[in-house]
Amino acid sequence: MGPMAAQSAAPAAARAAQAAPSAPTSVDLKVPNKKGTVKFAVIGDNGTGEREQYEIGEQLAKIQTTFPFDFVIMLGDNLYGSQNPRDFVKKFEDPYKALLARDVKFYAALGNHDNQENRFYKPWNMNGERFYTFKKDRVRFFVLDTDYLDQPQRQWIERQLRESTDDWKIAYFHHPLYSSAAAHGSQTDLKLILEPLFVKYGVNAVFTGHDHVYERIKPQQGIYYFVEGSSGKLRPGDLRKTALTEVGNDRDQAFMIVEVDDNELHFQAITRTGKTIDSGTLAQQEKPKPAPVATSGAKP
Amino acid sequence: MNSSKLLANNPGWRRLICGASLVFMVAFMVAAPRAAQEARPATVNPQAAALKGFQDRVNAYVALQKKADDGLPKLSGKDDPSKIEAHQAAMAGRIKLARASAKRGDIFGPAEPAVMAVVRDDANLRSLREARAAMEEVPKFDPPAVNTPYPEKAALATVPPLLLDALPRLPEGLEYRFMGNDLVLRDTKANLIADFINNAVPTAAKTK
Repeated sequence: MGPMAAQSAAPAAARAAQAAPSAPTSVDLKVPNKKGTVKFAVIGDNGTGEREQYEIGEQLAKIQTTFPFDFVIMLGDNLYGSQNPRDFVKKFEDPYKALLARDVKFYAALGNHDNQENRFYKPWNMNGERFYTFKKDRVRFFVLDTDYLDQPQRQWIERQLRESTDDWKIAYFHHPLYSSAAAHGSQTDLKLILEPLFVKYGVNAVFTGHDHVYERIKPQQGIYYFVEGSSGKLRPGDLRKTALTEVGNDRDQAFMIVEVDDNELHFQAITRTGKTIDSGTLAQQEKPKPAPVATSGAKP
Repeated sequence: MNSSKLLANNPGWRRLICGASLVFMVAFMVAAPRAAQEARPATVNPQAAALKGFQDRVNAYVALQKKADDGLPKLSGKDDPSKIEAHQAAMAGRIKLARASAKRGDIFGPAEPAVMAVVRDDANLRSLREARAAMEEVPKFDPPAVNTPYPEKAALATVPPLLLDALPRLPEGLEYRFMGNDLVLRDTKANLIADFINNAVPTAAKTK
């Protein structure tokens, strides 16, 4: 019996006490929705198999009909608890059934709750890798496994960033470099290791999960950071707004839609009931100047 | 006339004997220290030897892992969950059989104190708050056992990357994880505990 059927069997009083209706309401799009832009959705910490995850899935499906994103990035903790074949159905294939039927692609990062061998699961498009990169038109995505950031992975990401000549560079992974949530917060080791690379090689935006809240971080050394770890899990009251916080929400599950055009990134964070909790437009940053090549100064 | 007198009375021989004596003395002066040195046993860095032994045992485990994978349908990245589950279960079954008598310490061995020192030193470099934060996600489970699965529903606590830098490098197929207060060597393909070190987490960094 799936979660929606289980809900209908619950006592009426308990159902009345549940926070919000399950039917998605109409969303007022805050992104331009122009032709020829790169459009995607963002979910993180989603794999619960519970009602709220399904409601997020319904919202995504509804929005996709008007904002036709063709892929979703997953920020890790794609499945919680047991991860046998039945769990893939309950915690991924059923909640996002409508999107999968429309051939929307999912590109997953691994989180600390994920079985690492799930990198072989076809619908997550990881091609058997813990860390990988892919390109969508003008945007290159770099997907990391921050659960185990060993030397081979660090060497890989530096090489990839250095060699990328793409207009936009977006990195995503599970653990946040910056977060104001109480449960986990900013990950110091990761910040020390990754941030210099991101600054040096001109990463434009970073999406992470792990903390079960939504938070848009004020730009840090020019880079835009988002925490979206509330697309299934939620920790109400966990977000203590700090000097890092531009906008935050820990009251309801949420997801994001993003649209990237030539020189702007537009975003909108939406709850499972269709309420917009954040939106905006971020200008593309100037690319870092390459380091000057040392010469002897001798005249030819 | 005896030979010594013959030698003493012959100037040519005297020059030859003197020359030979000189060569012999120089040779002795060179050879003696070397002989003395060879007589002393070569000093060996015990920690380096222990870590080398650890690397050898790790490599042997990975070779066993590769052997366990032989003949199994390969995972391609385009797989369904049944195939992923079956592959992991098959790997685990083969390795458990091959290491039926494995016990704690079989891989870490004499390197255990050195590895614990790395973990301790890393914790000392962090503030108490950070050291505890690094351990907070660690699942609190009963002590691990060699050749048993890492608990399916347990999160894989992040290993701080700076600590990973300091620990002996592992080949693909094995990784370090903390479980309770123990440092586990985890087989990532079979999801087995290959070995572990008890109480590797320094006291100050332990969480409740």
